[in-house]
Amino acid sequence: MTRERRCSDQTLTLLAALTQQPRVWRHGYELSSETGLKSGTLYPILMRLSDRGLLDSKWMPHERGGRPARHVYRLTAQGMAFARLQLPAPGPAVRSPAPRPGPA
Amino acid sequence: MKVQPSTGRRLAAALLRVARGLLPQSRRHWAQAMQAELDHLGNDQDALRWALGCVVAGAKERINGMFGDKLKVSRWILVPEMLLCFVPLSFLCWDSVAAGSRMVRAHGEALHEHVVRHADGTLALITVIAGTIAGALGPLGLIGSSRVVVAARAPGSRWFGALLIGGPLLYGLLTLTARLATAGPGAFGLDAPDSFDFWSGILLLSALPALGAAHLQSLSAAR
Repeated sequence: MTRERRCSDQTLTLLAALTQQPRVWRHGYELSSETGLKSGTLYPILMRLSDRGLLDSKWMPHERGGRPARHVYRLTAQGMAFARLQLPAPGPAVRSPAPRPGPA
Repeated sequence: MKVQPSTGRRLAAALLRVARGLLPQSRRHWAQAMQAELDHLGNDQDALRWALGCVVAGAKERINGMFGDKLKVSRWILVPEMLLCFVPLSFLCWDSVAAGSRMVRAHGEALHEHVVRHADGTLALITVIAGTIAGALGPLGLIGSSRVVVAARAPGSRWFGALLIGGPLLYGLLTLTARLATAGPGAFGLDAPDSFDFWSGILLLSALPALGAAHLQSLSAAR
């Protein structure tokens, strides 16, 4: 039986950012700004996700010609399924706690 | 006219070259991705911070690669390594069986007369017997390592591996304990009269055989 290791908090933060707009390609600096992860943390996680086939990447030419292309990322279908498993399910709407039974 | 890049920008570019150098070969293409981001950052401070982070990422990947990848060892390195690890222990075995001390053939009365009767003699006797048993692991280690070197086969079962690692370690521990019991903590100092003999004995008869056996095990696990 294989046991899935729990992701680090940083990986979960990145997965959460990537699942918000799953079809949009995001570049490294954008992901870093959004998640607050420094490049020293972000890239090792991107590499790991890519190794496991959870992350798709490609070179996207800049809209304005003359500027270099950027490496962009988004989750694969497998990555989305993985993220759903790892990320905590969205909780129910905040409700006032039910009254606890007190002494009669 | 071509605009010269600022000092900060040049420093960031140099840092990215360092990051690229740090990344393992299989990850070099990620350096291009890092570089591409750097080219889009307008602010020098952001660029420097980004590049520094990339150096950290490169170092992390290098360290991960060091511990994760299987390092292949040439037979030309492995042969002298295994000889260094197991020949001294084999000499101990030979010494016990056939040469000077001849522990295996020692007569009971002679042992009592020359060893056990003396103060701390029993402890010395136990150490010598343990040395004789540990010495037998020397030839076994040589046989196991020759299987790896010649036939590229695992040195033996897991129990054999554990015995090859644990035996010399136990012998070393026993020797240290015996020395502590007979001569006190002061005997471990480098200024003790026979400290060179003692520590070289620990190194050659305990530490190196155990390390050699552990290396053999790791090589067979990698296959």
